[in-house]
Amino acid sequence: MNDRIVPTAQRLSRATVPFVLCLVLVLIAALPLTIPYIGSVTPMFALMAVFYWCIYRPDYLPPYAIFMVGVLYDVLGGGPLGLTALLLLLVHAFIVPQRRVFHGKSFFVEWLGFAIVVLGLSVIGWLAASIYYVIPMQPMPVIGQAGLTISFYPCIAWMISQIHRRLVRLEVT
Amino acid sequence: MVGSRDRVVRLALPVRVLAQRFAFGILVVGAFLLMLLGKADSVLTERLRYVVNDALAPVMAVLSQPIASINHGIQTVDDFLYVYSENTRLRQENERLLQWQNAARQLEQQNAAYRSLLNAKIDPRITFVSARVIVDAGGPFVRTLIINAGGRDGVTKGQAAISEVGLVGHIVETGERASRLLLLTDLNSRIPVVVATTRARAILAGNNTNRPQLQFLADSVPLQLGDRIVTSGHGGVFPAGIPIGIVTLVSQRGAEVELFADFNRLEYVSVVRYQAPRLYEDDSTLGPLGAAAQ
Repeated sequence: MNDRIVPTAQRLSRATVPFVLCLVLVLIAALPLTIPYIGSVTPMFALMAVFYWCIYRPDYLPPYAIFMVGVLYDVLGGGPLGLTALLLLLVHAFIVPQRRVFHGKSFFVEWLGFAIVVLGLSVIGWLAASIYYVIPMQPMPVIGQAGLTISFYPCIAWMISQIHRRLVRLEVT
Repeated sequence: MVGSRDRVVRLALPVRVLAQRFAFGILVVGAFLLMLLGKADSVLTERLRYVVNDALAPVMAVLSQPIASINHGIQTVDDFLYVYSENTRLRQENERLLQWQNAARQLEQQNAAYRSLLNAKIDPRITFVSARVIVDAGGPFVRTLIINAGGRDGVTKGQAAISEVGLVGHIVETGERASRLLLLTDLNSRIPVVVATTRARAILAGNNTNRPQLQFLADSVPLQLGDRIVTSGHGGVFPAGIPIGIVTLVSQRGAEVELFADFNRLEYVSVVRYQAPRLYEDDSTLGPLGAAAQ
């Protein structure tokens, strides 16, 4: 009896925890928290989680889950529907084949990789939004968001790694 | 037995990889399709936004409660830092406002007297629905908020939303429990306005910065720094005379307006339920005030 329940619970938590975590991060980013002197641009917390899982366990966060996370972000944010979904899928497409580059390296290499991904996505997102609205977008909010997202990464990555460790422990026992 | 199993695995692996690639491709195409559908303002994407936002409204309403107190905390620290200069500024302002209060009282009496003399028709009664901001996604391309009042509270598309000091934006999507507010600063925001002193008409166009621009202002009209901009009421969507901001920059390319509303401190907004006077009376269009009023 117990033999059957425990593996099922493990599989279930492995399949849902990373996805639910991403959804929660989307909701947190959507809360009306304003940082003084910065304004209302919020870091893309969900992008950090997607990047993390793409490096360490892409099987925990399959592309359809990434797609759903992106769509939720777009629905709440009111921006071009599908844009964030597309950007997050791009992260998956770029990072998963090269994820071994980051394994066993120091955190700074991972952070640098994340910074490059964020900057790339900002340029693509800016271009896509400019085409979508048929007018060049203001660059400052995009730069601000990229900066915030990069600087928050160590903190969020540490939190996700704690959750990751718990999940691995579940697997071992 | 083992050999046949090996063969199956050898065959299945490329098939699986192919299926995964295919699924990935479908998702990418799906994202593009969503963007196209959204651009075309299709019923489907509107429905999707409506359903998801309505479903998440109670969750976000609960989650945003502690956020409000965090914001208050940050604000308090900030206020303490400037308490002296703020106090001096407020004292001076108070003196000025007391003079204005006297002037306003006199003008009010005068106005009432003229109105009764002329038998003037004033705009219909305006009612308000106050709602809390529950979502501020802070994306770099749009300036929108979600508030926790929707169709059941009598909020409909197009209505104006104001804060204590002035216009904030207007409602662009309504669900049952939540609605989306397009701020004045958003790229897609276009509001008919007038310059309060000269009564010159213009359109206030958002540009994703904190300073929207005045467009379609007649060249012959001189515009001065510090001119007050208010809603014109043209188009019949907003009531006339809601304060918006003051002109802070006049150049060849247009004029910039500094808004009265402070978008960083926005916690509650009031949605203005207003119906412009019509040729034929049809009260049903505004809908009932809903649960909020009872």
